[in-house]
Amino acid sequence: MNATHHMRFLVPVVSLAILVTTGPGLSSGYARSPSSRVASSSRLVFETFEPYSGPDAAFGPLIQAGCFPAARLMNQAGGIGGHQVACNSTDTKGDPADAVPAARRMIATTSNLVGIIGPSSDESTATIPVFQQAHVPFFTNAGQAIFRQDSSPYFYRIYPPDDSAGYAMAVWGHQKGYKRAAAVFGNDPSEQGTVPTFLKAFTKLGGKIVSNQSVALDHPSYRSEIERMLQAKPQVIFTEIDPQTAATFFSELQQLNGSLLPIIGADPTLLPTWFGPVAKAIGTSNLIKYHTAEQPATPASTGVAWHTYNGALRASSADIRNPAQYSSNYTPEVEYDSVNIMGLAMLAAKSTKPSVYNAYITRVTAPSRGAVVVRTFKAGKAALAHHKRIQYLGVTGPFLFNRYHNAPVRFEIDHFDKKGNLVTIGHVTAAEIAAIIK
Amino acid sequence: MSSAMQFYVSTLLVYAGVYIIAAWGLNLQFGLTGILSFAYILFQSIGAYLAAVFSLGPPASRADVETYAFGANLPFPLPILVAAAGGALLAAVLGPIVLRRLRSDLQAITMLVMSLIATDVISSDQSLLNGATGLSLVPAPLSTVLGLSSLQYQWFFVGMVAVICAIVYFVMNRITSSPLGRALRTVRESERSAAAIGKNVFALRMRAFIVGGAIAAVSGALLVLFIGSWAPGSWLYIETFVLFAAVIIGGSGNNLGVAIGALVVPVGSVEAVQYLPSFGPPGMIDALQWVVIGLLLLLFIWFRPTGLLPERRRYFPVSDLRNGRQAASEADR
Amino acid sequence: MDLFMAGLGFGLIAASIMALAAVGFTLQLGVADIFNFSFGAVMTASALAGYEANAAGLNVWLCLPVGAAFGAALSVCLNRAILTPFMHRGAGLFGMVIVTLGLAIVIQNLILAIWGPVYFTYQVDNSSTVRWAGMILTTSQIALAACSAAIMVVLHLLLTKTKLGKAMRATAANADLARTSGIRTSRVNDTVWALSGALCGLGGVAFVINTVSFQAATGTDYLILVVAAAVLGGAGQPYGAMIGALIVGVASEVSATVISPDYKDVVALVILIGVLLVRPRGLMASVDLVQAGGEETIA
Repeated sequence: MNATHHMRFLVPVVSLAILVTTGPGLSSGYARSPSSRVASSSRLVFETFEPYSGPDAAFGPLIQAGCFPAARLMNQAGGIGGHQVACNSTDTKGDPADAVPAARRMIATTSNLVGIIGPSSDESTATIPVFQQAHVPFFTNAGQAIFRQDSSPYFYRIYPPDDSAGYAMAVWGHQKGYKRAAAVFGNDPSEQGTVPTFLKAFTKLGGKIVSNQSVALDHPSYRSEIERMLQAKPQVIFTEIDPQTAATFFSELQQLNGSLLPIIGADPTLLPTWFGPVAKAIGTSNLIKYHTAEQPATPASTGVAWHTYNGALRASSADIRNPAQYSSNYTPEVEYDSVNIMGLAMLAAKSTKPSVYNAYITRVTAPSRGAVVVRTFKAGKAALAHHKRIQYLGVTGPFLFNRYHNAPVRFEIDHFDKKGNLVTIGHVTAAEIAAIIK
Repeated sequence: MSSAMQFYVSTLLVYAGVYIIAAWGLNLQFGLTGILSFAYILFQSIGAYLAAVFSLGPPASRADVETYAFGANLPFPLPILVAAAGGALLAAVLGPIVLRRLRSDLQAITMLVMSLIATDVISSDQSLLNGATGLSLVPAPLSTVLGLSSLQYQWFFVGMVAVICAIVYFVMNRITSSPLGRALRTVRESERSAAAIGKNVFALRMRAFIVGGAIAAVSGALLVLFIGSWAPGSWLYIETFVLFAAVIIGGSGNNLGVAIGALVVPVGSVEAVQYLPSFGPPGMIDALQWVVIGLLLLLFIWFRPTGLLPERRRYFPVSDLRNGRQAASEADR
Repeated sequence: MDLFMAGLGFGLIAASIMALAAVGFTLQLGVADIFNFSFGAVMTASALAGYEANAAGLNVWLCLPVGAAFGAALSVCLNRAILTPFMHRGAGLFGMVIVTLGLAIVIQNLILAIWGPVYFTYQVDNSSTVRWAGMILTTSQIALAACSAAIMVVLHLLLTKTKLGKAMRATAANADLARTSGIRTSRVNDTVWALSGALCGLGGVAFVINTVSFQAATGTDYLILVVAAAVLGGAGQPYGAMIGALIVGVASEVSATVISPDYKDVVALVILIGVLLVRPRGLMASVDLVQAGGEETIA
């Protein structure tokens, strides 16, 4: 009885303490960031709002890999308006129900939050209204087609919608002369986004989908699925499945068919996390020989913009696990550019206030007569200091935002080389994609 | 308080309310009656899906965004009531399958298996409830009628959740302190004794299962109406485990204790780790958070199996003992 | 017909791998009377031990004994340090389910925290394909199936021909009676955990030799099929578990080829629920798993 009485008194106190410490007020002291070694209230913070745990846990580190090099270069160039810049992360767990309170907390407790990278497809529809209300610009990598016409002023999407990735795969398959295709996509939101437009476009181009499977991910075997697919005699496999599933699926395909079939993948199949397990499972030479995939086009990895990015990326090993793996990957590159665009817009607006500088985002990226074309933050800062108008191209530009703040994208077709680096072998233009959408 | 902070606090309060309601439903099924309800998240989920499709409108009206099998545009608060009915119905269907013949750990496994089957089927079949992508853009109830600013609406929603919390608490309290509650505890402690004093054990367990299912469904309905989306990723079986942890840590059988458990485990622990000084690569803290919840649960079962706020000991006058073993088994606790 | 035979072949392979784990699981359920949800996490941990050995240059087939040894050691430790103490403290059937589930979550997320969200891949040599009677199998799969069959025979001999096996079966049937007849049940218990842990580790490594790649949640995800096999055959029944594995493996693979791959797990799980409803004891049960009003305590 005594113990019970004791608890009666203790519990409200303990729970109150938890509420107070987790709730408002005492919280802004720590920003969760590997880079914020010194907590300083004057730092400007870019938040990566992505899954860091759950089934899509690989998204967060991949996307954040673009923020660190940008912040590093900005700080080397003297920061923005006397402020240093930092990258923070917020975990959405890839679930809308977990993401909403995370978004509210991020906005309420991050002092000097100036820009957001995210959300991903997993949590986009639940959290975009939250960011909208907060009046903070966000560069999303959500793939949903509905955001082609999102009218919210703080929304930006450089990343192409999933459906255009589906179009790009279909166009490339058509150009390679394939008529009978098998579709193998995971039953996961991000993977299912590509399917409908791919099927529509490939059929419209005169091809035939002889087998269409949505596979449950990470199963012990897919032999039955494969045998079923092989019975339909496809010439090519279009796919987006996670690395573990791909390793199992393609190694079993190799065993059952005697050899692989040509594989045309969506852009996640070009990630380093995909290359490792799959190359090990089916042999690197087979992967090089049979696998190609689309990703949004980037200029050849030679220009000054890419060298600047790559140098800063490789110098960020304190913040990024094995940074070299991201050297030729579109996703971190585009996030790097997003951070730079926001930074330059602040300089052009002479304000770090999100609701003020937001209007300058399209201004520092749009082409115009007399604008100085810049490829790095440092060059942009110098030009703005001389009161010039600028057009930022960065690594993945130009960024021609339409009235819905979507930027049309050209695709490239890549395959891996022996070390897992990407080699570009062709392109699908924005015009070719627009032609099928009609 | 800044408006961003108000948004944050009001969101946390809504979540706290939703989790408390969900934990109470589980407390009725597990804490009070002893059903190891490993499909519990299904009840929350069916409530969320039903509230969503009955707020979204007929499927044809949303064909360009998402696909689902049926739907309507019902006025508030009907979607919540439909959800509650759906949760009760699901319990009424599942109950006879699992509660009748199996040993308790096999009941748990059978329910877990049902939870997994549901996740598989809903994720794979795009036409039923929009597959793995889930439903989104569910309209917020009354938002067009009330004409409030979005911040005022947040507080309105907090008030609504608080009222529903109060109603559920009232219901739960009535059950726990009624003869029905006593009978349910008897079933939990000893089915044999319950049967010996003429109680229909199966019927009693079904009652708790159904009411608990309806309560869970209400919590799901509130959550989906607040955030506007619902997908299979929101109701993986691990979420059931979180609620079990909340009930056990809070004090299985004690409504107030369970409410505290809901504040500490699903709401508190997630929020608390965000304020830790960071260490390790991104994602490490988020994995360790699960480790902490698991360890916390083990520590509680070891050191304080009755939870933070234990179920009240109940003593009965000697005259009650004449009614058989029931009272005796109550006093034994 | 071709597809059916192919599916049957795949099912037999899946079954032979599943049988290793299912027999291990059912031994724990029968002898120790613990419904061990952390079994899947121990499978993952053993597969990870095999991965580290493989990455250090060990041939993938020699990773099988590594996984077995690791699984046995980890299982004995977990039982002695956590499970038995919890049972002695009065955690009933209910309580132990929660305890082992908590343990599973701890192990799985520790792996995630330490190694990160990565996919582990074994270095497996390419093997050639064998076609026979419509079945299409690889040599490495046939080798795995042969290993599994051999282990099952050894297990059979162990259970029926040795004193230890008899002691185990006696303990499973009635621990109190076994103790009063002079069987040292605590030593039997250790042996059972070592044996079942070894099977768990073998199952984990064999699973990954077949799938090539895995991650932190793989074992826990697979566990549900293992449990289905074990429960289907009659909890606590090694031979039942083998039959259960056969049914689950063949049913899911054949349904994937004949009906649709989307629902291969669903088919296996629906069969499980069906069997439990008709025969709550499972196909071959002797242990009393039917609720006969047995007293149970809550954690």
